[in-house]
Amino acid sequence: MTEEVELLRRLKNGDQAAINELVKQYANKVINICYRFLLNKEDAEDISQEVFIEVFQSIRSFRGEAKLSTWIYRIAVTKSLDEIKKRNRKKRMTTLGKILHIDDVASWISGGTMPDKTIQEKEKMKELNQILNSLPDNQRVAFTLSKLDGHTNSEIATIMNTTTIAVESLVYRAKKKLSSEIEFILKK
Amino acid sequence: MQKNTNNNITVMDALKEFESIENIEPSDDWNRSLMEKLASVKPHSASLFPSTKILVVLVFVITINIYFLLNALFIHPGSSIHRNNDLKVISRELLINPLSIKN
Repeated sequence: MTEEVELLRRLKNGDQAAINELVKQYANKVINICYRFLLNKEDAEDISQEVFIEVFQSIRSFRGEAKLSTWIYRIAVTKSLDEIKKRNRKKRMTTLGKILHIDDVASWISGGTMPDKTIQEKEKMKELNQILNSLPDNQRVAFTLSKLDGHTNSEIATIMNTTTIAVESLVYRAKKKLSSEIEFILKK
Repeated sequence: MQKNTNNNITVMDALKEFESIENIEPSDDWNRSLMEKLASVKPHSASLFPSTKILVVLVFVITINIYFLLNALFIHPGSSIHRNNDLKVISRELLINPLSIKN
């Protein structure tokens, strides 16, 4: 805890070494949180960079009421959800583009080319995204974080600013919703 | 029909895959590009608490009001009302004896 306080003090003073230390300490975790939400490596890398920029810009207003790690993960979750919303908006634009027969514009708007994935994998991720999109934000956050290594329900509760029982209930509801969504797809 | 069945299997597979997604490592130039971005941004200064901001606005409004009040009372006092004379004029016009008013 004293180490964290010291790191925080150095960060607030704009110490470059402290910034490097912070990035080194949290880079992997932040990238993987973003990856679990976005299911795309390039997007996860971009958003995780935005997370660290936000952390750096707002560090002076961080009052230490929560742990530094919790605060950083919370920013990562918020940024990822924002990106998903942005993607969904783009998708709606793409659909509109297809309706209006302007496919070139539509594919340009949709972005996210995923060059490192095979077509089959891309298709899988796309479908997975569709299913996860059916979840409300809080259920999606609880479910996704619960699938990340090393996140206990109480940690998720702190990140989401709620109780452990609420997290358990959210994960349960998310699983139920996901299975009904799959059932619906199977019936179709 | 065949396509539908394939799709369903894909969805089930994808969900299973989600449960076992492996962690990724940042690419080689991720750190360098982040440091470049960080070098071009500055941290925001610690903002005032909202209650402090409200207090500042409140003090400003009160000061302005006090200024107007003092201005009205001491710097530009209104002309004095000659109540006595005015009453005399009115009573004369109404044909009332001014002495009866005094009493």
